[in-house]
Amino acid sequence: MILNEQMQEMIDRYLMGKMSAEEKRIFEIQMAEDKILRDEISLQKDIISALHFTGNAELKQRIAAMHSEPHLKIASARTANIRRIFAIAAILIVFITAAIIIYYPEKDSNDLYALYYAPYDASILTRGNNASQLEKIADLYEQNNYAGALTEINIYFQSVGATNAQIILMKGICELETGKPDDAAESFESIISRHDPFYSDQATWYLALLEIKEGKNELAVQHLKQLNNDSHADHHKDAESLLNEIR
Amino acid sequence: MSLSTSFRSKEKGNNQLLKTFKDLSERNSIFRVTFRKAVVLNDEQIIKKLRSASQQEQNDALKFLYKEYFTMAVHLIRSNNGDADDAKDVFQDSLITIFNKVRQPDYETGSSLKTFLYAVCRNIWLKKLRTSGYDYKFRETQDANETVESISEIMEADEKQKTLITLINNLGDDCKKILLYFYYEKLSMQEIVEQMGLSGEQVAKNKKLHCMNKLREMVLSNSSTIEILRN
Repeated sequence: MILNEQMQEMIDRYLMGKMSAEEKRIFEIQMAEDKILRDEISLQKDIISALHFTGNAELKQRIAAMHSEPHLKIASARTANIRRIFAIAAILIVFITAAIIIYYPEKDSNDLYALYYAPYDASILTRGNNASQLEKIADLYEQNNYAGALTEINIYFQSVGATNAQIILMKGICELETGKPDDAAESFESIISRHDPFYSDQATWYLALLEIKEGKNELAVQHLKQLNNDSHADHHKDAESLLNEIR
Repeated sequence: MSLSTSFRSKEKGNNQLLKTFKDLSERNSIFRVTFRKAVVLNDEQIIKKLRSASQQEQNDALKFLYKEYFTMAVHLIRSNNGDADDAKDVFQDSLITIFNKVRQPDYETGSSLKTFLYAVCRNIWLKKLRTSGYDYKFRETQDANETVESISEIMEADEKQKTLITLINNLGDDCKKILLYFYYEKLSMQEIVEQMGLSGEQVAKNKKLHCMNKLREMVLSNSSTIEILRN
């Protein structure tokens, strides 16, 4: 069937929601009685949906091309102002850093550990089943009650098994904080060995810090290089900076 | 630290300092150029450009949104278990959602575009996390009180749509263009005439009808396509 202009215009107005309520009512009565019209509407609905996918795909290509355009050329005045402030701040930081590099002695392992270490932030704890138990762990952890959190984590793992990488990471931090470095290393290594997509980087970072603290700089450098080589890794910049300090 | 080591260290530090100053000086010249070229658009101007028939105008608005708010998306996604690549994908999909939403005739300016964009990025990322099996407590990186409801997100094409998309791509450039202008960008016939350099509205109407019939024939002449569409 070849559609004429009048029929196609009617279908367009129906499918694009441009009919009045009365027009729409009459058209739907016609559709109910006419299978060919119903099939035609169904086909054109599918075609319009596919045109939307095509349009979105082409728009995405246009937008993706913008991502690689030189950013500064289209920066706003506000952004440029912020950048100016950052530039001034950067100059000050360079002065201060240079002063530290030139006039202060090299830091030892404990200094570096203290400078870079901060407990993992568990405020984004992923909750699912056992939500109340996880909340209890998160609360103790956030209150820096690491011994209490460690006890609760062990109870939790006894009941559900040690499968949640985020909780294993928190366990490692609790073990670090309560003076159990070997246990902490084991916790971090267990996350790394399972290649957990979300927490491997964090585990690698804390393991490297622990290794620095224990004077195992060669191992630490290996772990830090892993983070430094992956520009998307968590602690990528921290790793770069810490590597420079160690060298 | 021995005296010679100390000297070497200082020399290394001074060289680093000189290099950094050189880099900063070069970057500062870029900042100055940027400042002169800066373009600032308000929400009303951005919406007007996004609704325009001209791809150049649309691109100007999209680039402005990219420049202004991509960092916001990176911060949001990185604070919620994602990385820079995730942020790029989510932000680009969010821009598409905004583009489509703003071009709807019933679009009403409620919250600011920044709030709207944040809400769309948040929804898309939350949905992706949940699809991956994460029951997630979201960490907001800005005030999310003005949650935008009913945001239509980009969906994956199913087999039926993929088959039709292939046919659309085989339709020929002009036919594909006129159907996209009419059904996707929702341009009027007069705007289509201007964009495609046609001689008048009736010519545009005839061309659009011819292209729709051509596409329908391509669909209906292929039994396997009809089978897929029926399922």
